[in-house]
Amino acid sequence: MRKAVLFVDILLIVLGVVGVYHVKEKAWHPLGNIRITSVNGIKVGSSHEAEFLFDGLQIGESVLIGYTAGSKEEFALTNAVPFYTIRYLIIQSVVGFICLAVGLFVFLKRPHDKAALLFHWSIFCTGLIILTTWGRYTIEPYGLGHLIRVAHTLIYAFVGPLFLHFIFVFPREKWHKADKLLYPLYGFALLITIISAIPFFPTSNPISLQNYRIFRLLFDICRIFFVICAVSSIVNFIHSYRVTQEGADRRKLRWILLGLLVGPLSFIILWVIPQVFAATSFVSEEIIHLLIAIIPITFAIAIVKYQIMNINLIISRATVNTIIFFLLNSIFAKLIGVFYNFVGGVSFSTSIIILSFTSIVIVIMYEPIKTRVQLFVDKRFFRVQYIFREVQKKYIEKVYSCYDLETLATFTVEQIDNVIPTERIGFVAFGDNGNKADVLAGRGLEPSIEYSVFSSIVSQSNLKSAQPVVFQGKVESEAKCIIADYEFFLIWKLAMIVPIASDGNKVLGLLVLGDKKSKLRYSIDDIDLITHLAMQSGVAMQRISLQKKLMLEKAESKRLEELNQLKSFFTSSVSHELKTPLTSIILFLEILEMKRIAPEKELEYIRIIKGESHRLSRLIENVLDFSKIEKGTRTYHFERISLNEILHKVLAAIQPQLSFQKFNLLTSFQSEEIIINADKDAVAQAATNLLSNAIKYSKKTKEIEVSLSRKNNFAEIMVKDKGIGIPKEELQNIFEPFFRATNLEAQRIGGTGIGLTLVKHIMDAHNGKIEIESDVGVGTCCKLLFPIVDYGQPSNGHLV
Amino acid sequence: MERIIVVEDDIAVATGLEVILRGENYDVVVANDGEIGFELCKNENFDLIILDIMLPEKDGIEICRELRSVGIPTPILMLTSKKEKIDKVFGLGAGADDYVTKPFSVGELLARIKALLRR
Repeated sequence: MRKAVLFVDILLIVLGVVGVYHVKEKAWHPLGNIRITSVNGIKVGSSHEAEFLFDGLQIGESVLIGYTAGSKEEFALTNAVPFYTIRYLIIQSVVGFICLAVGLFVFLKRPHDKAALLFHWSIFCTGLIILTTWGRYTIEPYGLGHLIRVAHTLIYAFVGPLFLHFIFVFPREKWHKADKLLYPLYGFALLITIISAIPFFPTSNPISLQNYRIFRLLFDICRIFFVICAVSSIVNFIHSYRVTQEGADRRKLRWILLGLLVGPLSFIILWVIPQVFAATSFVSEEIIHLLIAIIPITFAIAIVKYQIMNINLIISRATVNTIIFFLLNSIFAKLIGVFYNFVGGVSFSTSIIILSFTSIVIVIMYEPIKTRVQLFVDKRFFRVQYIFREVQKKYIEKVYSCYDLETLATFTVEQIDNVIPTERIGFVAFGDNGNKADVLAGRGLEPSIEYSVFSSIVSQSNLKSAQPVVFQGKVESEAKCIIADYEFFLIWKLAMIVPIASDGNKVLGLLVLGDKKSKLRYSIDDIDLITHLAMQSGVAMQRISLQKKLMLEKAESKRLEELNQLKSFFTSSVSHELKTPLTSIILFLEILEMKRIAPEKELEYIRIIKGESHRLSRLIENVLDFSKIEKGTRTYHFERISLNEILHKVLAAIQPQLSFQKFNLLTSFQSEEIIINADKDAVAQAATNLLSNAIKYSKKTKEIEVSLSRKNNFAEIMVKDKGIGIPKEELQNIFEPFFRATNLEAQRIGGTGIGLTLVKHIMDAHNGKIEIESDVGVGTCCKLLFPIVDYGQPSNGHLV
Repeated sequence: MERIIVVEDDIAVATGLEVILRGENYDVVVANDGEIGFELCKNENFDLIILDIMLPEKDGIEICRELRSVGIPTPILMLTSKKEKIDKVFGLGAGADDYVTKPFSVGELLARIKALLRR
């Protein structure tokens, strides 16, 4: 492909050279400004018809021209002279070959870029139009001149569509259906060339004026066609320019706009339109050529600045060094001058000392001056890069204050948005094992995006090199990135994915980006900045995940420590709880042993021992059941039981303790027997625990209310005391193992913190509920709600 | 007849102590919570204070320390179910004179009471 294009280029350059030669050979009459009516006896209607007839003549050949002077026609026999001056030929060659050179240069620099290729063809055509402008078509060898004229027409017809095509792909691929418009245009151009070639083809020699008129008509159509294409190109380009929002990109496009407006527009307005409609022109051809020379120059500036190399950097460094050179030289000269003035006449050795001293001064000053100048140049002339560098600096500074991934993601997206506005952007984080991907921050992303696709791409090695993967045509060439054509780019309207990798090249996440809002490609600077930010955020992500891990470990160790504390508290409080009834049992047993007591007291003491023994056994049961719950081995044996019966038994067992402690017990039982499907020991345990709590936490008002009732589909056991109560904010925690209310009164009373945990477990196993209302200083009311079973169910239950 | 006050919240333990001490011919006063116990100790004269550590309203250690700080020199015998806690009491210099750990035998208790009363 490249070779073929170069081969055609060489042919075209040869064509250009021959073109210049045939223009040089173009003949004209030496009589100045006259109106020609006939040439060698052939009547002509206009000056361009006369020009055509002269195009067939050789310079120096004698020619008979008829012309009008005043009202009558006169004839003159004269020798043909060159049509163009040497000055014209020089301008024509320079401008024409500059166009060819620029086209060739752009093509060589970017041989695989469609835009560059189109630019190359259009600028080649422009150059050739200039070089092969109508000259002598009868130059030797015979037919070459005819060929050049046909080629000229062909090029003229093609340059319009080519420019239009170029604008469609540059600065961005604008409309992917543009081909549907462009191919008919190319077709039309070819057709009109072929048709116009027929009357001009050298079948008849000399060519008749009649044939020329047909050719001329077709050529004018060609010109109008060019005008239409050129105007639409310009309109199209202005549109591209308008949608560009970034200042830097606009500046680049402005160059091209300038070229387009000055070159083709002036050519159209000052040359083509007057030629077609008035067969005359407003300015000389030389000026038109010079104006057209602006096109390749401005285009080349824009394309070079914009795509081919980082010209900014080169210019920037060159500027810096020139300024430094100038400054240091002035200082150097000034210093030497001062010294010489000061010392007066100097010997050779003194001047050596002076020179070494000033050199040292210069060397010392070089670096600080360079920094200043660099900053100045960057700030004044190269704002874009300066901003990018500022963003990078700021990002590195600020990223350390991001303590979680969401903040980091939002911050990163914000920063990129500030400098490179995009249609859509997202910050994706992968899970630890890489199969989960979450968008932590983003905007405008297609909801259908499957981020898991990216994770699978991540596993491929190309992403691991931490280079952005960019869809083809979305980035300037020579940017450090991988060009890919994954279909998902199109489906999800993305332009680029940038891996966010840790130090160890483990991919932690991705930045996904859509097109730039300006619709331009990503520049080398853009890619640099984005890659840099992605790298920084990779480091930050790693740091955040380490911090998180550390915090989790800390929290875990704190939790373990707390659990340990709770357990040691539990063992010490269990031993206290066990030792208290044991103390009284031993005390009363020893009292009984002493036999110094009245017989009526004896029975009372035995009751106390019995009551305390029950208490002890309840405690032991609680502890054992709790350890079963902890291990998950507690089982319940369900059967049909009467709640009335169980509650009576519970109250009977706790009665000694109640009466001994002088409690006032109020009971209210529903007369109807309530049957539920439950584990009877567990139900008794739950009720007993509530009662024990009521006893334990009652203070001055020793009154406990117990009721059994039916509420809709639930059987309700209520135990209500007038004790110290539970603080409202701690009600939610009371079922947690080892939890003890923090009010001082409760703390002083002591306890294991497992009673209510057991009750909750029992109630959950029965699909029941426990409701607790409490006010500090007023009392606590606990309700156990058991679902009442359908009587039709089998009476004997099963294990849970 | 020596006067002894028993500050103990567990009614069964308190009753047992009361019965035993009466049997030994002491004049016994029982207080079931710390606040009442403290007020009694402060305002009345006793020859010995038997003080449980775990008490509602005001715990034994606090009572002990406050009694000493208001200059009451009455010997104090602490009752505890936690050996480590009593070490702390003495370590902190709360001012208790002796202790027994629950569960205790009557003989041990009486021996300590007598020893304290002899001082």
